[in-house]
Amino acid sequence: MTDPARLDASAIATAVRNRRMSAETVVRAALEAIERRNPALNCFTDVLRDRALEAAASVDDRLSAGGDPGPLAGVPFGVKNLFDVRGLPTLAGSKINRDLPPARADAVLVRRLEAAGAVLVGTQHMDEYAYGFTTENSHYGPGRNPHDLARVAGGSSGGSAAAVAAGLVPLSLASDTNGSIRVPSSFCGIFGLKPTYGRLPRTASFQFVHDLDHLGPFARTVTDLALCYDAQQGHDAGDPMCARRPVEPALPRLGEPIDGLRVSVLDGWFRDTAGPQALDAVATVARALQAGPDTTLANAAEARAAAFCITAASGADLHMENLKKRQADFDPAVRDRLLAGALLPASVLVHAHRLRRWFRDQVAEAFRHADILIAPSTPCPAPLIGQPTIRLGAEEVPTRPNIGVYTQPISFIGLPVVGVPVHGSEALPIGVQIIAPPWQEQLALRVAAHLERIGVVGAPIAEAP
Amino acid sequence: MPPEISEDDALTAVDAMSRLIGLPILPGHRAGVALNLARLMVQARLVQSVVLPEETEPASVFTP
Repeated sequence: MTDPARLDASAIATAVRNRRMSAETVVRAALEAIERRNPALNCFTDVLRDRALEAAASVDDRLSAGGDPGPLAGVPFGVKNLFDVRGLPTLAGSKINRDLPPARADAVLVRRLEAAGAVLVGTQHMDEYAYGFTTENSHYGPGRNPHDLARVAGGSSGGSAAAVAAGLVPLSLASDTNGSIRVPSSFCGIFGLKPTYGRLPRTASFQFVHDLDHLGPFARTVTDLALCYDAQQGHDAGDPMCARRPVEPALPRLGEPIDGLRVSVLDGWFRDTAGPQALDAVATVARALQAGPDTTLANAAEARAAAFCITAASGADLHMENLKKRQADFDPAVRDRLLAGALLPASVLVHAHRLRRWFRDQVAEAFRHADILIAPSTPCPAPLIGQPTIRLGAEEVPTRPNIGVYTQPISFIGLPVVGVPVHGSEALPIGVQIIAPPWQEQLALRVAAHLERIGVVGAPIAEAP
Repeated sequence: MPPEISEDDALTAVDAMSRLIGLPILPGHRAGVALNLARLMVQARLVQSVVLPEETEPASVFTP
């Protein structure tokens, strides 16, 4: 019999709904896989064994009674530990938050996945307060990449990505402020969806930068990504930035042809400093999609700089009280960046917000000539844990602040992106961003599904090295 | 330290600004904050190098 821990979400849900496999069997397999591999990977921070087994039994009971537990029946999933989970303090990767009272209710997106039949099995490791691209966390140790344990999983949602890549769970929920879904999706070789800013409610999750925070899923197939995304859509009044848009299901449209779509590769900022493997991956995807003329986004470097400044200042404001009272309790790498952000002149911040509107309009103009834009997710594959610098073009630059150079200009203006994994001839995978106009997640997902069907992208389980 | 900004300037700014806004920075954290402030100011200069049309309003939305 197939190991249920290795199945993807849609295969699990089908098997559970058809009574070929019980939810309990699936969840026990996931718990066993986590127990076996988490000590090496360090991707789960809390495992919710009792809660998960109770929820699985409830799914099985519902099926036995002739009910429909939902499209994600029995699918185990994990959440980055910045989502509220009933009974746990919401750590957000920090030591300070251990002193918070336990959450009294689950985050809205957790509730929505459970309402669709999915089973929460645990919370997952991240950079402190989501401020990082590597999940190197001084309190809880580095999150490790399942393709090579000496390398980072990426961040800040590193634990969530590693858990999916290693086959411990088929789905994880994560957040992306500057690249925290797309970077670990690249390094761990899986699919990630960062929806349009305002699409999915962030209610009852720990914020980082209100103007830039997005939530979204990781999966090993595009179908699973769409299945999960569809179950999460819908307005929630608890998030003031959540758009009042109708649910626009992506799953039913995944198989639609992409003929006639105008695809364009971003050049300039997105090409000039990328490493060879990133360039190869973009070229492979561009060829498969018969991409037309390249597109230049003017001032992409400045847009990235604006996201950098807004992030530092907003993060500093959010944590100001603790920066005054508990400075020594922060991860040093995060602390120093937050303290610097607190000292940023206000006019820079205002200009950055004006630039945001202006850059959005420039990119909207670019979308008059292209339906989909393509760019690397990261300049290089996963660096080694502790690696101080990476190469950007001719320069050696500090690793942690610079991995997101190609993701930051895109999330800065809230565009939906699917991160697709390219497993070429190299040992490590690398990701490519499939970028769509605002609210066109289904378009990016359709393109990703096409690439997956023709074998250009994919996410095989990373076996233990 | 980025070449555009001197270490002295960054340390002076950290000391002065932290005093002015009432955010004490522990002695052991001062050099790291100065380094990060210098990196941040390089990005800030890049942001402010873009001359925007006067009518471009900030992106933040507030609905009373």
